[in-house]
Amino acid sequence: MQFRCIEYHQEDGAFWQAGEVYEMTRRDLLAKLDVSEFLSHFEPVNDAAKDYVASLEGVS
Amino acid sequence: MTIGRASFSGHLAAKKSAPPGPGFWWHVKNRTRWTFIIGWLFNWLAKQFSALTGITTLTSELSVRLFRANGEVIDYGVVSRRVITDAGVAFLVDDWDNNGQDITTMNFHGCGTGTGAEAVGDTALGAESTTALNPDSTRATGTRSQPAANQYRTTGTLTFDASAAITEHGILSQAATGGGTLWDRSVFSAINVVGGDSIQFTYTCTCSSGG
Repeated sequence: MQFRCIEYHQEDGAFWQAGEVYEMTRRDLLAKLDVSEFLSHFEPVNDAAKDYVASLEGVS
Repeated sequence: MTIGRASFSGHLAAKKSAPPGPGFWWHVKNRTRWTFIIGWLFNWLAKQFSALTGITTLTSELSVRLFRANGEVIDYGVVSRRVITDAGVAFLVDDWDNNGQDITTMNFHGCGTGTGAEAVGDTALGAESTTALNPDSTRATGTRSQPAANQYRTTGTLTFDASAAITEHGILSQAATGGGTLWDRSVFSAINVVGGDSIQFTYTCTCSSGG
């Protein structure tokens, strides 16, 4: 899944730069403490990423 | 005329679905190895050290998935977090010094049956698999990606045509077994394979800048 970083973000020894596109796996995202908060720093790029974000919407 | 009332009831059950793991005892065996423990601890300490001091560190982790010939998938998770070798970092500096090395060639996955603990002085796998692989003597070419700005990831899948107890993995600079420079070697508890099985190795190297 490809995500574009909207704003600089760092956590757990990794960082992401605004405007850059990163390839993340489902496992990467599942490892986050709060995946919704983490993904608020990114926008989905490809269909797989869009589907993943859509699957999170409306879930509480 | 008949007057009645109908009501409906039910319940919803949810279950998180993920590939099964190798079992509790495999994890106990792997995670109680001294090298796994210090790998986990030092990996975490290195990231905190970089964040605190601004001194750059390189850390790594290796994840494994086993694909059985019958379609079964077993997710072993992170099996090792060390060790990047002296030969590997020397190769990096050589490339930086423009001496003809190319760090982008560190994209080939080898595996083997050696069980000696990984060490920074390693220059090859302990007992690299050759004829158990399909094709023979050929390492997997990885698919490169960047899950973060300071992380390099390569994912490679090795297929087997014979039985073996795989206990080690390496990132190397050439596809043919028996040569190349070893960037990283990881040792783990045995993963038993038979002909037709495949192992997917996902290697991630994190370069912490002190951010």
